[in-house]
Amino acid sequence: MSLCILSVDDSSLIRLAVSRLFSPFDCQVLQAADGEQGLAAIRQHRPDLVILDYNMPVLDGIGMLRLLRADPEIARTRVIMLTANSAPETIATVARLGVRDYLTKPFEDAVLLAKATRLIPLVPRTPPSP
Amino acid sequence: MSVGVSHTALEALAATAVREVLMQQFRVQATAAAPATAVPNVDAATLGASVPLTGTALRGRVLVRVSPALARLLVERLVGQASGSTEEAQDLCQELCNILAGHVAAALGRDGALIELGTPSRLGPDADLIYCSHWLCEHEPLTFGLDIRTTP
Repeated sequence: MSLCILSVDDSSLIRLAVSRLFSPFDCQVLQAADGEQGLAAIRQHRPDLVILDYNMPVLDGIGMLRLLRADPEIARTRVIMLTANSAPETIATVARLGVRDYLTKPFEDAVLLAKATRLIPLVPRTPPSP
Repeated sequence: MSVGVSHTALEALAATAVREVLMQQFRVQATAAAPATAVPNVDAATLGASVPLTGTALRGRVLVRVSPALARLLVERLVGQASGSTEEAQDLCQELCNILAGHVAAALGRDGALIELGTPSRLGPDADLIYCSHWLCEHEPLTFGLDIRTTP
């Protein structure tokens, strides 16, 4: 069964970059533009991994994490933060909220891929049989 | 470049931020340029974005203005495919500003000051970039502004 990854970022280009990065693997990448959409997508699709931005309109990354951890149905969802915000206080806060890893922008594709691979078993997509 | 923060320090901060972010995220070399050669012709097509910074000891904004051609190039470098979409070009400009603001906030916060980034927003063509530096990236202009003020 293929994995499901959710990219939550207000930048459509970052969501697209994340989708492209994971396209060689047997996984589906879903997208959400803010924390509220992200929570709705998590409840509906139960992703194996969420790649989450911090500064977003409507509901930011911290707000989404607090609601996520407060909901027993989805509280154990794995999250990697991908954000321009590198303030130590922010990193400490998201660590307390159970974020598994933290990556600051600018980011390297290989580093994000390595962090994701530590959390979920990514398998290369097999080409369709002729 | 600032009121209440060392001009020289912010110039160095701006230069490091622009060079490192453009190279690390987009693999584009940014070269400092004189305004006469690098100021974009600001019109309705020019893209601009700003991100507010709020800290315990300072507040301000980071501002970026790029030509549509540079935005298209950076979109291609980020997502691996060309785009002619104006919305994507503006999104790129705001995300670039966001990443630059994060770089600036990290540098300003090294002495322990807490600095929060706000959400990126569009910068109109008539916005005043009083304190700025000018850059050329693959022959296309980029203007980077820092408006940082210490708070009493």
